[in-house]
Amino acid sequence: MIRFALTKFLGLAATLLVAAAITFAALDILPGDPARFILGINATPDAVAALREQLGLDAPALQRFFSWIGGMFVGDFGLSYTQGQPVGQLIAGRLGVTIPLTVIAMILSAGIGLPIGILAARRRGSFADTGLMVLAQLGVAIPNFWFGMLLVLLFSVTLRWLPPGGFVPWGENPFAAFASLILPSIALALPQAAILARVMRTALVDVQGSDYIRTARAKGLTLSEAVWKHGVRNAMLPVLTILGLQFAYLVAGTVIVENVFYLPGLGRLIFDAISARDLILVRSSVIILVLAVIGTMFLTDLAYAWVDPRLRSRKAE
Amino acid sequence: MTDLPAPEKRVWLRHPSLRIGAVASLVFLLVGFVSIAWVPYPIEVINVGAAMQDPSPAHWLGTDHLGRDMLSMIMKGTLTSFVVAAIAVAIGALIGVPLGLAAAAWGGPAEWTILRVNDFLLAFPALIIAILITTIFGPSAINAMIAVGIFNIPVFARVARGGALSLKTLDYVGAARLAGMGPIEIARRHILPNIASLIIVQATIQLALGILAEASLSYVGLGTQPPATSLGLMLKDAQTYALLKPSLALIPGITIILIVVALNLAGDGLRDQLDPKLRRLGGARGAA
Amino acid sequence: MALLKVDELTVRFGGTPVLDAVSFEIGKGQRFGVIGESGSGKTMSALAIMGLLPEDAELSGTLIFDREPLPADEEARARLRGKRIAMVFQEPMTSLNPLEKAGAQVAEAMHLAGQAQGDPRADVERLFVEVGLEPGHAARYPHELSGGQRQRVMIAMALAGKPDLLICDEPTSALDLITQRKVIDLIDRICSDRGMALMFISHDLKAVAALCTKIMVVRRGKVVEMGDKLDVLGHPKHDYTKLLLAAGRHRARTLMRAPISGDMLVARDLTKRFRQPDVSIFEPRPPLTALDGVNFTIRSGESLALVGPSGSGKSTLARIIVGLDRATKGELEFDHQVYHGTDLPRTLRRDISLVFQDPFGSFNPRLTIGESVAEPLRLEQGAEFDELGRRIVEVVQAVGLSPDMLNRFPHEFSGGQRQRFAIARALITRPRLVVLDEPVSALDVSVRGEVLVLLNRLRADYGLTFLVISHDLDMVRIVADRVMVMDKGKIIETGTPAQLLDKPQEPLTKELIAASLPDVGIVPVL
Repeated sequence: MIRFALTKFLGLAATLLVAAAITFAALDILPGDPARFILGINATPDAVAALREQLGLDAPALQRFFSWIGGMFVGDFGLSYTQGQPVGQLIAGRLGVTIPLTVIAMILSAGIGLPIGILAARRRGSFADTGLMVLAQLGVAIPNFWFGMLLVLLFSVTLRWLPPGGFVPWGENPFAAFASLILPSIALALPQAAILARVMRTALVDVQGSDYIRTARAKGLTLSEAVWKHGVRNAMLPVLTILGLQFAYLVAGTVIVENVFYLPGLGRLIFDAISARDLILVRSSVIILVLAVIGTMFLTDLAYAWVDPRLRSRKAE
Repeated sequence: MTDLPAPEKRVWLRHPSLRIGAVASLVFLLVGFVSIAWVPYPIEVINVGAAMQDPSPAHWLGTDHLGRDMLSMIMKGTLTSFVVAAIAVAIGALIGVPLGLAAAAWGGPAEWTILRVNDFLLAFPALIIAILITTIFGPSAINAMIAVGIFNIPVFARVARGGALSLKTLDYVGAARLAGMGPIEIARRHILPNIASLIIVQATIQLALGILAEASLSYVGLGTQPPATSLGLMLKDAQTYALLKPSLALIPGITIILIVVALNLAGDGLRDQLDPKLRRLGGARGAA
Repeated sequence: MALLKVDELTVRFGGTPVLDAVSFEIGKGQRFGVIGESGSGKTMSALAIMGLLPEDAELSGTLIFDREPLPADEEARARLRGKRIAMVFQEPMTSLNPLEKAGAQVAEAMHLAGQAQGDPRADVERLFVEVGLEPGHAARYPHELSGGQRQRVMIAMALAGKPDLLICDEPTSALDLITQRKVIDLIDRICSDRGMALMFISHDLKAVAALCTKIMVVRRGKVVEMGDKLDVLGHPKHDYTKLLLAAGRHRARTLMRAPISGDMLVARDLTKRFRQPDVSIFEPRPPLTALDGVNFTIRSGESLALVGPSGSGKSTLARIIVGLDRATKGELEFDHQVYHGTDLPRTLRRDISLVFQDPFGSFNPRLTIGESVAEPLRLEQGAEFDELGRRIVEVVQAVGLSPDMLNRFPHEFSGGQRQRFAIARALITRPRLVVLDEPVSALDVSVRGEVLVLLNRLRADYGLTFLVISHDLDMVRIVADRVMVMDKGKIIETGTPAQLLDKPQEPLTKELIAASLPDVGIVPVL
């Protein structure tokens, strides 16, 4: 198992390196001259030259790439041009919003979606099943930012239960901080929950028809007992795959949702940075996001191997 | 000793959700197409005096904050959303499918490389790619198409590769090789037709996702730009006025939901047509 | 007093009956055999008794077990399963939960049947030993066991509850010849030891004959014949039963053999190694040697058979000969031209062709059968269009089918017909050497005989040379002039079929011969 983990780790580290390279290349090369891009069209050649010097843009690309990577290992993400602060500090500050938001959304989506999927599968063909799956179809189709808007309209404006946006730092008032994350988490979690519900249901229904469930019944279990004892674990395999992939969507969603609710998270940071053309800030922030996604993929692969012994051991000779 | 599944031809249209989904999608598509030639009121014309009106015989869905007719906006917006999503699907399929087939055919280091690039593209949150591209190259509907298209590539590559791998081991592919057919010919004659249904199902799903992605991009200002309109752009405008007139947000939102649901139903129905047939045949073998 | 009484059992799917008013009885400790081909409904009868029919099945008729009707309620029925009636299924790989260890799955069976006394591990060990497994196998996952071992685990699970009736549905068809015999002997032994009643379902006449005392023959859902074994097999009344018996008892060849002359294909030191995927970077695996320095000659006009257990390398050899794979070392010489497999020159490709084993997968479902059969004609350069058309018609007629079938699709034909088309496709380039990979093993027993006769006739008519791969010694006896026995990538013995059967030299050959069940209708074994 450990060797499996190491192999996967190496593979994903490679992917991360490639991601960093592409990000760097894209942001360095695509805009043409980064310094000119940052300063805008009306910049004087002197200003551009000065900025190039300041940012060390005249060094060869490969050298800059490795010094960037190396810097990240020691926590130095460079200096934000537009905000004048170390990028590392900026990002760290924002993570206090984005991480809890993502985690709560993940828990909500699994906590709502999976039980619904299981329920629908157990009552396959019934009214409840059809109803739940119709809801799931809708859930998948709802744009999360639109749903966020509706939630604000209902819970903040009409009912005044929850704040419509903004964020109170954890240090000041943990309860208020938490409260301002509730609606955004729900908006994020809804489409994911719907997807998970459908995948779970499909996986369970597939499992129901499999041969080993038939064998379990032949041993003396009823259908529902057999599915519960033997099927669920097998059904989790495709669900796990989807969970891992969903995280990437979730991360993308935070960018949008933080916009709707005016939350000072990593998503907003990237957004503002892009609008301000602060390439250094953009690239480090993007890498952090990619790291999060890849890290989740790694954990998912591990979980998969933990559940499915076929991935870890040799086949029969 | 089993029987081959009959190539699904007319049986397709009998599945209920497929029928509903397909019909609904076509209706929306038609509405969009119509708007190329005609809309009740031109959307470029701003008439602030007539802003924020309720639905009336003159304006079936009311007007927005700039006095534009909501129905016309919806029609044009639907068209834009469809076009962006469709071209993104085309980009994804035209590049992704050959990549997936190549990976399956060649194996070895070529396959490994393609898979790693695939993983990487999947790991990169699509929206981030889109944001990067649209910011660097400027926000526009076309760049949105490219961005979403890039994200579609690994999806189609994965589907194509999976399908091709399961077919590769079938004897008729071996027979084709014995007949002296080269890999490209085999892909064209034997593999593509048999994975076509998988790809079509995936295309429907990606179309739905593309519409949602376009909406997100336009909402943050990186997609369709005014004076054109798309469903997402309408929502962007609506946010400011949502309190005053919720219908500004509700109408485009519900339209998006309906289109996406219709496409998903169609895709699910298609997929059900293919899978249970094979599964039930596996069961029929046990019927012997 | 009958243990199980089935009366007018009918099972329908959407109105179509899969089983039609089937009635039979099984007494205590009696061995009851059910013979039928695919589509006969035999599996459905077993599933009906167990209460495991698919959801959309409609059931009518009565099932009485130990004087009481079997309950329709799932819960009550489940309590009976495993305890009083147990079942062993056909596909051991998919029938076991891939995520649980073997021992745990058997222990669960014991626990459910209320047979767990004290230490579950000891109980499981006892069962394992009884079915011929080692105690160490309990800690393994299903994918770490061989096919035969998995089937024994299934049998152990079935026995855990000490049932009165054991139903076996084609328990050996997924296994190789030697293992098949062992499993059948095992079933024989446990039924005698435990005084258990047996319902043995199979298409294999000889297996049923070896194990059972009473036999029922089903066809398309109806009972065709039923009675004492000696009666049914010795004096069959129904035509279908006679057909099955005749097909099983292959007639000796009476055809004139084409003269056997010079060497056509020579293999020298042929070796093939496969790279195995490493378990991880830190656990590399040695390459798998599928062929190990194989040397042989095929003479023009002869029919050479290649037999051996699964994994012996026969299929690999066939693929290299026809040019689908490449040898790692060594060479082949066909018609004085040397090649190594995939580098078979295009001009020679039409002289060597292959008939695949599975008629199901050998045709593209989206092309008409005519298009598929004509595909190899691409190898014919410079031939006229009309000439090609004539070739197609000629070859289709040669296999006993009609040219107006060519516009239809593969799924419209039966397995036997598709295999004939496969043979037609192999013949269309007028090859000299035809390699046949298990040409009849995927076909129903009643159809096999026809195809074998066809093959022999074609060989004589067209002066073909055959290389036949098979595990079925009976089939080989009819079709081959010479036999090569392979094991673990090497040829261990050669001779005529008669020589091998009478005086096998190598231990593996002896095992193969011993594994085949006695012929039906000649001397009843039990």
